[in-house]
Amino acid sequence: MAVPPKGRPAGSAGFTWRSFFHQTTTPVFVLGKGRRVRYANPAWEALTGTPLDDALGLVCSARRHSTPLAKALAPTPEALAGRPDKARRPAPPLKAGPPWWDVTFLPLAGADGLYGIVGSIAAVGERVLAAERNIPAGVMAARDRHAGHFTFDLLTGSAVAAERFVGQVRLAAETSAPVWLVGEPGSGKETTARVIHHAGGRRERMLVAVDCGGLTPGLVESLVWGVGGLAGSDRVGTVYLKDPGALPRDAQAQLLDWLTDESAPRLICGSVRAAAEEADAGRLRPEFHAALSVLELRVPPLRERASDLPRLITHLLERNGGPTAIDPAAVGVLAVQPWLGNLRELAAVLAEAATAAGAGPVLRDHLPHDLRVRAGLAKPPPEPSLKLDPALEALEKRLIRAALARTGGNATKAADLLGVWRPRLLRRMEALGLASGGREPPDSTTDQGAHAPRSP
Amino acid sequence: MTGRPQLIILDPDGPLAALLAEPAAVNRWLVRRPRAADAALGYARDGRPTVLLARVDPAADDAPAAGLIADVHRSHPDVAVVAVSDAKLADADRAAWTATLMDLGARYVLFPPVAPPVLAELVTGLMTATVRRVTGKDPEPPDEVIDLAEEGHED
Repeated sequence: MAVPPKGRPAGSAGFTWRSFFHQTTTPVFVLGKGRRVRYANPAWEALTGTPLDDALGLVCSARRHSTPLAKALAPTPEALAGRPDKARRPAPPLKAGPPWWDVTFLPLAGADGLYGIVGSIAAVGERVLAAERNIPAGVMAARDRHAGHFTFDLLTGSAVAAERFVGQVRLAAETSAPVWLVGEPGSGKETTARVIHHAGGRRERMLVAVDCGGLTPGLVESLVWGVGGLAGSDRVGTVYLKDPGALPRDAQAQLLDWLTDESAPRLICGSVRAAAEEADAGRLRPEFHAALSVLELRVPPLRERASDLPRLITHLLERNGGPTAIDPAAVGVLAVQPWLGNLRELAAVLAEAATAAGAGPVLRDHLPHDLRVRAGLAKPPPEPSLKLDPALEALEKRLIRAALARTGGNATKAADLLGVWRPRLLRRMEALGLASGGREPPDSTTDQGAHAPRSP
Repeated sequence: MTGRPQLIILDPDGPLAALLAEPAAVNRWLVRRPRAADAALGYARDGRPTVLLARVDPAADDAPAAGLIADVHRSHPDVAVVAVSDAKLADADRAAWTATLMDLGARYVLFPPVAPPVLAELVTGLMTATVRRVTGKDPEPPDEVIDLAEEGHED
């Protein structure tokens, strides 16, 4: 049997993949399974400014000592696992964008593993002259690092619900249609909004998150339409409205006018209810629902992602900056919880456990008592006492403290507010162990700069 | 771990703490006044419902407060962050700074003039929303309204 020429597999009927890639104006490169550069086309050479001969054999990884080019071409974990993926990287030799490279990885996997990866690069990134002029480079670098944190990796998981969800999020990132994220409290709606923003076409502009329930309508109005407000800025790419149903209907109408304009930012909303339910309940204007909830994505609750729990635990422990090791027995306790508060609750539990663990691994005993009770490993706490005297003393303390706070610590005025004589107030303060001299025990902490306590 | 809501004010020797003394006392917020960004990050870690007020100096090249805002947002996304600046900037600069700081995770950015009642209203609103988000409940009523059902468990 005749040996086909190099680059022309048997049965390829004359097709030469090298010449095929050589003609395209898209920068293309091929990595071997050891992540070494095996081929790159002239468009790639032109973009990178690197001759192919110099690049051949370059190991593309994101290790600390890798060159910026090697880091930019490093395949993502998903690509190494055999799934096509895309990543945004600062264009070398820059360590921060813009401009950026959108690197698409197409793994070539067979039954016995990965053979190699074909990559292509699209250079993106408008030059943001206003920001370059006005914002220091250090702040822009912090902004870029922050943006780089919100990738699909944050949402990826092996659970069916997670896989389906990530697929929907990728689709949302490829469009500029308004998105309505519906999910239980703590399930990660805002994080999802940021992933969509940073993977989408408006990533060079800013994402603004507005907590509609946490700001009064006047403050929302000032934020958007006030002097120097967002509506007058050309820097906003996406607006994330948290619980838009909390806004008065007038404000919803104003937002509708702004966000349906052609040059307006993209809108992503997050809510615990579907847009239709919000409209039916009268919390959302029907036209707001019709115009601004084109894609509705359901963020899966944590209980539907049980198989992802170990990965999420590791990620959250790393994010917290404390110990990252956890005893399998502790993971077992976490696995039987209902997680009604979803990722937010899991993050809070792990932060508390990590604090208790100090420098060592998180053990079962470091987890909160109620979780261990639920796992059948501890007894429930006794019922709270119904004794009257301690309750009345606590009530008296709170009233005295409130009066002192309101009068700036003046015992005479506080006694007046409480309707008692000053000597009686002082006697009660002494009896209750409150600080003498009409001053409340210190309530604030002024740190001298070195260390903050891990817990109060 | 939750507990009393916490207000972290990164404004060494600045007036923000004084401007918020009254709502802090009435609502029984624990007020922390770190002098450095890493200390503020340490306080943010403690799991309480938290609002962070950080003064940003647009003239500083490194702007440590900007890094703090990003770190807090990434590590503790439930902490509501308000960035405050004294700088009087042109409209374009102010818009660019507002957008950049919000992209870093700030919920609100305030430039002069900052009216104390607006600041108090803003922080109170954000704290209420944060308590609701973190605990799933509304904040405890201010001290003048005593909830007898809660007594005996606090002190």
